[in-house]
Order: sequence, then structure tokens, then C-alpha cells
Amino acid sequence: MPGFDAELHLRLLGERALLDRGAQHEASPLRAAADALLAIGAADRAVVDEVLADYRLASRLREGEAAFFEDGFEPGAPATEPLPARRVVPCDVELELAIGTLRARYVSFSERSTTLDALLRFDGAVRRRGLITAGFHSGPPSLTLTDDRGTAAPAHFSGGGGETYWEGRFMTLGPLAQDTRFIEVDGQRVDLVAGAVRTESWIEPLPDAGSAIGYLWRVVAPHDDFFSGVRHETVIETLVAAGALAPDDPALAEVRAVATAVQEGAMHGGPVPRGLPEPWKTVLRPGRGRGPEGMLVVGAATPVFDGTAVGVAALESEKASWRIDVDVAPASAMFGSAAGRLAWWAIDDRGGHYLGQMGNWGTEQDEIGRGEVHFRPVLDKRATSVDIHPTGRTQRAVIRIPLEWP
Amino acid sequence: MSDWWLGLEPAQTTVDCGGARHTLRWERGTLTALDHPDVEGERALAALGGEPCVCVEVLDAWARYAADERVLVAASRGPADHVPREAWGSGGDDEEHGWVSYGSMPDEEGADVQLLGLLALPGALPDRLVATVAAPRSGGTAKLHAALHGRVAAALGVWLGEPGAELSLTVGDAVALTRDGAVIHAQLPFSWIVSVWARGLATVAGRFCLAAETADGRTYELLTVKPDFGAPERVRLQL
Repeated sequence: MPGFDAELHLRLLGERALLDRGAQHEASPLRAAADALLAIGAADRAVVDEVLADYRLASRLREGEAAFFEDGFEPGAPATEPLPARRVVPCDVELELAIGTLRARYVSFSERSTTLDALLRFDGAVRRRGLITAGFHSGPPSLTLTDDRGTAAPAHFSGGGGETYWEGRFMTLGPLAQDTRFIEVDGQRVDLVAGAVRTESWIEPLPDAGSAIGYLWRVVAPHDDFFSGVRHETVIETLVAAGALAPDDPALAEVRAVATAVQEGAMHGGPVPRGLPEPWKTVLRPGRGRGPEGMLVVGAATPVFDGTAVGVAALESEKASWRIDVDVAPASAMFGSAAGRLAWWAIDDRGGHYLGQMGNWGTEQDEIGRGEVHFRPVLDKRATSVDIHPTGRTQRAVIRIPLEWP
Repeated sequence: MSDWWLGLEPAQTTVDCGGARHTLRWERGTLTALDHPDVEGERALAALGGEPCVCVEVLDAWARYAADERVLVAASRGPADHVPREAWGSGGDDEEHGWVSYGSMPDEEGADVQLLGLLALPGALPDRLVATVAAPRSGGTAKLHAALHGRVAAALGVWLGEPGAELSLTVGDAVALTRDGAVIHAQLPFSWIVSVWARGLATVAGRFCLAAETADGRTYELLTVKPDFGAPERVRLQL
């Protein structure tokens, strides 16, 4: 918009935020506005960085190192090539180990490491013997994985769990033979005969890339289970001031309705108002019957899109939920502001929409993030395929997974 | 820009320098270490490996930031914008402790910490640093506009008892203050920061001050507005 001074707009927001000390522990309005202006190309990155640095300094003077202007997020280097090809093989076997019962779900091989995705159940006696430690930095002891050439490697755990189980991945730091016919887990053999489902993947441009409304929808979409809302009014005010939105744009009412529903707990059983636009009406609607039960080993990798590369190892569906196990490069693509991080959506072949949120997550070697994306609502039992859409700023990848349940 | 400091009272603070309590005093635009008549000699000693002189460090930091516009962004906007004046670096809550040596810190990290240290000094020295940076400037940038805006907004909030009052500010030579419902419209020059704010004249006798003129720093002609936002009125102030 002619005459719009992005720097002045941001600095005046910064002034307002400094004097509004009651809001000092909420998400920074300055950051929200800055990201919005960058997203629509209405501000220069160097200018934005200077403004943020200035008010970060001011905030430090008042609040110390816990200053509310601090976001401290550094994006990683963009991906330049797809993730390394992986051989992913379903297992679905149970092994009795000294530490408990291990249900091996699939094994994933790459040129750098081997990963066993598993659920480990144990009883109190095991814990008391000290085999399973308790506390924040705890988990099961490492396993030894061995391929059919006799190459063995310790596999260290990452994941989450509870009182009687751990669920996650045991990963070696070095590779085992990718074409091995079996894998031994602490000496117990697991034959690898089945294959992954055949998938397709491609990238598409986003129809609303760079648009103000498109950015607003990214802002209000909860990206993890702790999401409690954003300063959507600050973002709207900024986009209107920049001339990117008309103040009476009819889409704003829909955005506000969804943002308010999310802030009032609609994602966690709170009230879902009538009249929400799709896909939000479907995504936020509580309970929709039961989903199919099963695991599909996928082993898909996307082309690079918006400097990001994604791999999907598996899709698991249960009665009340479904999730995918993913790798993302750079790992930082799962974090940061709405402008920069991946959004996760899915659409099945019946037109059903699903919203994905980050679950258990860790950053592995070479800055590749690995973890879970949980989708809601439950997967439609009648669907025969689902398209996973990891979505960037201007492009999204599409991974089409046939839902051929074993 | 001569005599920009006219009407700005002297300000001082004490520091722990070499185990003794030393005084730094700002007066008529200059910061002086009262206990070190030979500052260059102290610098030479430190350069030869002697113990850093805290007073000289403060003087050097002051000189370093005397033209840094970040001072205007970071410093307090006034009574409504509290900046802790604790013993920075010493870890204590002694309000008289203003400075300890940061000479050993890495350059960039130490530099920001020194700026924050200056702005957290007890007393009026931080306001004098704001005036020092603002005095030669006349606005014209977003950063300077925001610096003026923040101080005007803070002062208006205190004056009206409305901390979140919405301000629409125009920077210009003419002065004006009106109210249109919830929005306060102000037109002020950037020099208001030095001529009014830094002199502690933003609000006088229940009025908001748009301009202040003085020839001796004791007698002022103030242009003020009453809370009814009527026409500006001249007021004479004798200190």
C-alpha cells in the first residue's frame, strides 16, 4: 500500500508492547506483526531484524534474560535435495527381551543408520531392577541390532512413554546392510519379507501463496498440542494497515471465528460454534465414529519444496486417532513462526479433511528432525487413500498413501 | 545545537572502582569521573596490563553510546516505564551500586551489556544519555518517530490516568494536542524529547506541556494544554 511504512508500524507496535507490561508473558505482538509483513512481502528482512533486535534489547533491560521479545529461533539451512532413500520394512512381531516385551513395528534402513520402530512394554519388576530408569532423561537401555552379514550396532532409544511402556525408535549411529534379509534384536531374529505400500509424491504450488488471507489461515492453525492461540488481531491489524486486507473482508469473520474457537479450547473438547467454514467444521467437530486399525509402512520421500524435504516412514491408525512417522529436513521446519514452519493437512479420497499437529519430536544427526504428526479427526474407514500435505510458504508436497489395510 | 543541556540538572552516580567508592557526574553535557583527574593516564595504565579502571570504563561506554540511537529505543520512557535500577553485574540489590567492570567480556556480548548497564544506572544519568543522543537529531526516521511516540504516549498515560490511551502522533515543527473520542492527536517536534521530556516538564501543574523555552535554565515559558484539551495556554515557570 503506498505510504505504508512497515518499519514505523512495527516500531509503534514495539512501543505499545513495552508500555503494556501486563501482557509481558504472552507471545510477542511485534514478532507476529513482523512475520505477517515478511510473509506478504511488505517488509524488508534486514529492517525487520533490526527492529526486533532493538526491542529485544529494550525488553532485556526491563525483564532480564526472560524477556518476552526473545524467541531465540534460528532456522536451519534449507534442504537442497530429497531425504536419502530408505528401505522400510514392516515387522509386526513381538519379542520377549530381558527388559520387557518388544513389539517391533517396522525397520527403516538408510545409508547412515538403521531404525527399529517399536513399542516396549515392561512391568514394575523391571523398573525396580533398574533396567528402566525414571526421570526426564531416561528410557530403556540400548538394544543391539545385527544384520545378516553379522554387522552389529547399538541402537539408542528416542521417544516417549509412561509407567509401563516406551514407544519410539531405536536408532543406530551407523548403517547396517540395507538389503539384509533379517535383523537380530538382542540376538532374536526378525525376518524382513514384507514390503512398503506403493506411494506417489509430488509438489504443488499453493493457490493462495503470499496472500494475506492465506497467511492468516496458517497463523490460526494449531501446530502442536500446546498451542493456545495467537495474536490474530495483531496480525489482522497489520495486514489491514499494509493494505493487504480490507478491514471489512468477509473472510475475516471466518478467521476470527476459528481463532476464537481454538483459543477457547475447541481442540481439547471445548465448544465448537456453529457455522464454522470447512475444513474447520470437520476438523474441530468432536468424535466421528471409529477409525480403521492398522499400520501401513510407507517409505515415501518428497521432492524438495520451499527448502524442505520430507519423508514418511509409516502411517498408523487406531480407533480414536491416526498419525504418521516422519523425517523432516531441516529439522527447524517443524518450529518457528507460522510464516516459516510446515503446516500439516491431509485429504482423503472421500473429500475428508484432517489437520496435523506435531507429536513426539527429536532432532537426529545431520539436522534431520524425526517424529510424529498426529491428525484429527479420526481416519474415515471408507477412505481408500489419503493425501498427506506438508505445506510450506508457497508450495506443498503431496504424498498419496493407498489405505490397503493388512 | 549549543547549550542543549540548558535546564538539565546535574546528575551523578557512584561506582566501586578499585575497592573505593568513586563518583561520576554529568553536568552541562559532559560526564566526568570526579576521582580521576588524569583519565588518559588511567587508560595508558590499563593498556599496559594494569587493572581496568571502572570509572574510565563507564566514561568510555558513555562516549561509545552517546550517538547510538538504540539508547532511545531501550531507555525508559518515563515514570510509567519502569526499568530496574539494580546493581548490574554485581548481583546485588544495592541501589547505590551502579557499575562493575565488564572489561573482560567478549566484545559483542560485553557491548550490549555495557549499554544495558548505562541505562540501568541509578538516578538521572540514563535520562541524560537519552538527551545526549537526541539533542543533535531532528527526527525524520521511523526509529526517531517511535522514540518520540513512546515518550509522549507514556506521559499522556500518566497525565490522563489512561495508561493505554491511543495516540496518533505527527512529527513536525508546529505543536498541537487534541482529542477525538478515544484517540489523542499530537503534533510535536522531535526536540520535545530534550526541551520538555528530559527536563521533567512533560506535565506541569496538571497540564501537558507542548513546548518549553528558557534562556537560563531557571525561567521557562511553557505552552501547555489542560485536560479538557482546550486551546494551548502559555505558562511561566520560575525554578
